[in-house]
Amino acid sequence: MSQFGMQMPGGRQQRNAGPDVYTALIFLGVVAMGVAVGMLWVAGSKVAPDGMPFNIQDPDRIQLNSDS
Amino acid sequence: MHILTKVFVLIAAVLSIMMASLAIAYSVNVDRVTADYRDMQAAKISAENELAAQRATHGQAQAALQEDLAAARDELASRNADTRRLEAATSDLRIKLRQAEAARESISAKIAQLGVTTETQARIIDEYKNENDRLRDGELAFRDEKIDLEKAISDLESQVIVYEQVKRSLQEQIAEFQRESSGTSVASSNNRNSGTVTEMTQLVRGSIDEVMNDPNTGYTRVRINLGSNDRVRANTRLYIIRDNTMYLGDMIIESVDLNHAVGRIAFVKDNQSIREGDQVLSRLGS
Repeated sequence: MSQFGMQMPGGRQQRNAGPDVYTALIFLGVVAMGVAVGMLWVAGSKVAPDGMPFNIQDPDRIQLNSDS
Repeated sequence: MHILTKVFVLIAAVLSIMMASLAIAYSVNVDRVTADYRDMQAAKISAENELAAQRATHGQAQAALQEDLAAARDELASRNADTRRLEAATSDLRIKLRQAEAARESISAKIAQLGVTTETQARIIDEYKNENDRLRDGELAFRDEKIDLEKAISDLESQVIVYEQVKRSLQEQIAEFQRESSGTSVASSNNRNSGTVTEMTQLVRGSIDEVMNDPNTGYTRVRINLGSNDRVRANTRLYIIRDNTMYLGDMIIESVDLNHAVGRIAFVKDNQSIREGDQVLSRLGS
């Protein structure tokens, strides 16, 4: 669609395109997701049986770390 | 798209997957933990209720035990009081026992002492009995001896009587001869010599102070230490003995003063002589 000349920002940069706003936004999103993953990791390790947030508690035998 | 954008998209996809899995795991774990927490809370409540019930029961039991404890303490106090009372009674009884034992020992000692005293008195009685027997034997012997002596005295008295009679006859003959030979000068002495010879009824004892031979008359005269104070009179017959046992002879008092007397020897036993110191008696057999 280059013959129509997109009005969207970053549309002109097709050859050797540099970082644009979408890059910044995705960057911010990645940073936010990273922070969310980190917070989930910490919270999940507190309620996980052996500190690994991906492990699931046995319903008949709940184990919590003493550190949490 | 810029390479960074592609990278960031990739990273974002990975992070989204991770975040989803983390969120799922977290939600499940949280759900289970909260369920377990609620179960624990219910158990806690039931345990607390049970604890309250047990505490109430325990309180009741404790109250009952306290009552039992108070009753036991009261009984213990009463038993202690009884024990002290019995201990005091035991002490009194022990004191009385010691006193009774001391009294028994003193009585035993007294009994032993009385036994010894009794034995001693029995021995003394035996000795008294033996001495009494000896004294009786001695008395019997003395009586026998006395009887023998009395017999001897009777014999001697009978001899004396015979001798006196002989002497009287001889004296009469002598007086007759003197009267014939000396005349009146002898008369007065004959009066004195031919007076009735008497004997004293009471017993007097004396001794011969001096012995003299009268050449004129041939008589042996003696002076004794008895006189009128001793109731000695003229013509009194006295008996001469020696050592209180041996008869020597007779004398007749011729003259008397207060404390002395002179007499002649009327009879002398054969082979005997009169000397100073011989005793004179008013009668024999005493």
